[in-house]
Amino acid sequence: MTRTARILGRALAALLLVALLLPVLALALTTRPADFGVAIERGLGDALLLSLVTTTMSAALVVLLGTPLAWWLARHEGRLARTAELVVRLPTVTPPAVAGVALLAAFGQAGLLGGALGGVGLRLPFTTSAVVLAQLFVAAPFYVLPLTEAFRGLDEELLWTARSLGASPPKVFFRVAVPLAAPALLGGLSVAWARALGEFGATLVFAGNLPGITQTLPIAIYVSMEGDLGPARAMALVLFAVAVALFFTLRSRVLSRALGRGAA
Amino acid sequence: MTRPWAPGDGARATVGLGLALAALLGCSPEERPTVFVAASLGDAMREAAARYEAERGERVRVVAAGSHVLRRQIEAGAPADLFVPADAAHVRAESLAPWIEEARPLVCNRLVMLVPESSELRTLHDLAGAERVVLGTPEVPVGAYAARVLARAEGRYGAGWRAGVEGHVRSRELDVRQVVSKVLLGEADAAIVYATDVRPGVRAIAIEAALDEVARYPLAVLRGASPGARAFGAWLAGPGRAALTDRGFAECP
Repeated sequence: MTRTARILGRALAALLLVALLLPVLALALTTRPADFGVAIERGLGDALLLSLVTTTMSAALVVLLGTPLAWWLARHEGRLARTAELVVRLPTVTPPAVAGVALLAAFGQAGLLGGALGGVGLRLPFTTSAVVLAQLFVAAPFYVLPLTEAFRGLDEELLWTARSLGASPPKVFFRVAVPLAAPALLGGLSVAWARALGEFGATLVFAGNLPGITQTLPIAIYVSMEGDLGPARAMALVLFAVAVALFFTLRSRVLSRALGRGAA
Repeated sequence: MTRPWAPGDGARATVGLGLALAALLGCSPEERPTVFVAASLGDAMREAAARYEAERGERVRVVAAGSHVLRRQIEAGAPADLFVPADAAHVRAESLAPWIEEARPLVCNRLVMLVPESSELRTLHDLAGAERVVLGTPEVPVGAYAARVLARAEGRYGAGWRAGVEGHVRSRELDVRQVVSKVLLGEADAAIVYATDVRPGVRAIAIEAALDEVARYPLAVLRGASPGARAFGAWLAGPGRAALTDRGFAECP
């Protein structure tokens, strides 16, 4: 009986794998080389460049702002910290279009901070900065939450030992905590980056769609569906390839070891 | 008294779950007449469907989205009986031809300039003075129509005027609802949308007939459409049209 159970279990697992793999495979098999040429005419180059630039910026921001936040969340148990953690989780339960409307309500020119921002000359909607902000909003939880867990799981002994040996708190953080949490850091970053790359709804509502300024690759794909589907498929393949390449780069042993080497 | 999990229970549970799942996946949704309509026609069509249900007792499902998205879905085999896009060009498209049985004009729409209620803009010519202009992307009907209006206006006001307008375009939205929402939310100073999109909170500036564009919404009956759907289509083209014209759509010239 257990053998049947094992086979059944594997069959169910295979079913899901097939369901996930088939669409991507079909995409690769039905796209013709000529489609890429048309896709370039339709703005693939601009959209790809914009997607790469904006997601790099939002990834950098996520690491810069999210790492201290994750550390703080891991080191504090009070109600403030727990509430903060809930706030970090919010974007994951917010539908992207709703996130876009919310971003407009906060940072739009008619929004809560619109007047104040306008006063210092900052008009966010319809700008590339708005794209970065939208990506940051949706992607941040995927970086901060796993990293918080990793920091929580650190052996306190190691940190105390480092301190007792004379290391300053920043040194303990950068030379002990971060290298130990490196796998979670890189893993979270790769998921966050992928989420930012694929972001569509919030960007569209908050930043709009203007080729070269706010038309990211996901939006370009949607627009391209108006004409022949071939170029849209080509663009989708390019986006997918970029995401996969990014994923493997960030998860590579080389990078993980380089970050982890700080512990030496 | 319950017994603990014994060997074989796992397999039995999985099989049971699998069968239940298969049964669930196997049943198909009820076969209601399904109408795919352009985003701009969504509200009016739902109103029409409500009237039809009150009159004839049959429920009709209305799906509203960007015309090109719906067309792609139909081409991929989506279970639609009727299709009403915002541009007659869609029903003439080659890729859609195998799916269409027949198509005839249903209603028409005009375009207007949309501004916030507090706006100081008064005419189409003032469009060049709007700081943030939002249009539909040329790939969607409202964007294509707007481009034609602007081309005609350029003939009258000059290339410099057109360049001024284009320079202030901040976004080319993917369907007309998003264009309207930008103006409603105070994020745009002017837009070009359908006359039927005017609502409280925003003001419409009429575009004179010589410059304006007529948007044509054809009613296409798709192959395999159910008798119930055909009846709804016939009703729409007849007494049902009032439900649409009451919402601002016009009989086609």
